[in-house]
Amino acid sequence: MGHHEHSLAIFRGRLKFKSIEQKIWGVFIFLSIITIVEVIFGIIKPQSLMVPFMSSFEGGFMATMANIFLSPFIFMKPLNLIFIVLTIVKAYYITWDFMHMRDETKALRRMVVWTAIFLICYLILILLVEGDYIFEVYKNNYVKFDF
Amino acid sequence: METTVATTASQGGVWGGGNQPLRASYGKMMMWFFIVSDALTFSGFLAAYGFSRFKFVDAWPIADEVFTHFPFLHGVPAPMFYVAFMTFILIFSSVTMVLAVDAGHKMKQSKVAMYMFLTIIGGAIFVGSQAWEWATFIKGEYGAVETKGGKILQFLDTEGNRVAIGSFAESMHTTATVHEPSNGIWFMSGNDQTSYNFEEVKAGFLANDNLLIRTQYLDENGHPTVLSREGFYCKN
Repeated sequence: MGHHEHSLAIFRGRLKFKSIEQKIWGVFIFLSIITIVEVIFGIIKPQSLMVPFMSSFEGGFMATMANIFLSPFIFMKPLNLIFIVLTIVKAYYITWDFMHMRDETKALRRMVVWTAIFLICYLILILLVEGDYIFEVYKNNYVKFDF
Repeated sequence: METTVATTASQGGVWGGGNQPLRASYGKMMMWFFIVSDALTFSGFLAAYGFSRFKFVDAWPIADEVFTHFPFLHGVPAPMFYVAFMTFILIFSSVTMVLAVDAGHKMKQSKVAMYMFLTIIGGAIFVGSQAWEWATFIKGEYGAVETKGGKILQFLDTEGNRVAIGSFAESMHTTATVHEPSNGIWFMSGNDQTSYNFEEVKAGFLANDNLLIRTQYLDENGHPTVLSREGFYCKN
């Protein structure tokens, strides 16, 4: 049987485990903590996190650019932003430790991750822009809700 | 296992499939191909969901008011608890799967069987939960009015509690019947007969001053808009 040279450290080497089994349980505990935090946020829904941090900029090309670059802080509720970030953190540890991506070469890691990220971002952009356009059509035109 | 694959494969030489790009065996490489394509499939589902939400962004149901049920706890409001439970099931079954693979590498047969069994149980609970949620997703006992445009109007009392249509609609004599394909033009049929017709609901609404109408539209605080009765039309 081949001896697997698994990397047994997480958090950039700050937390080391003795065996692969221990690492899996350790990552599971970490993911559980994140999930519990998410559930608590989802149930309490703090009022301060329900309104965007910033309001949109008005007037001119630079304002438009600022609105695009700062869009997560202008157009999103901070609570949703927190959920997205925590979900990505969870996805990272599931891929890196449960799927053993940590043990792959750097080139393979980048090929898998950046290809997926690019395609998913593109898909989301296209579909949400289109969805927003249809919303405007429903709102500003006399189109039945369930045509 | 990997070493066995590597030695067999390298016997074929570079052009015979013996090469190992990125130090990943053929099987592992194909597994990564599968994972990426699987991720893209589910991204397609989720992005389509986002598309639908963005189409109706001002009238989408609030998750807290939809996912309030927990199996065997009928009538107990538990917003999002079942969703949280399913998330844990999902994480736990991925843990048992990884442990099963690890035990397999160490040739521990009974451990593999146990972890695989737990994974299957977890998967069954998750899929079963999804089925249960879908089956009990929209189940109301209050009733509502659907407008010609497809919007839903619900009825509330002044405290904001739902009121069943059956409790205030006035019963009137009606001669309306469902148009079935067996009557008249054979290929045409009408809508289902509702428990109360529009005139009955309207009469009941006008007769009760303490009733309010709630629309699907969300106000600036993200709550469905409740229409005010301050106007001549409701004074009857």
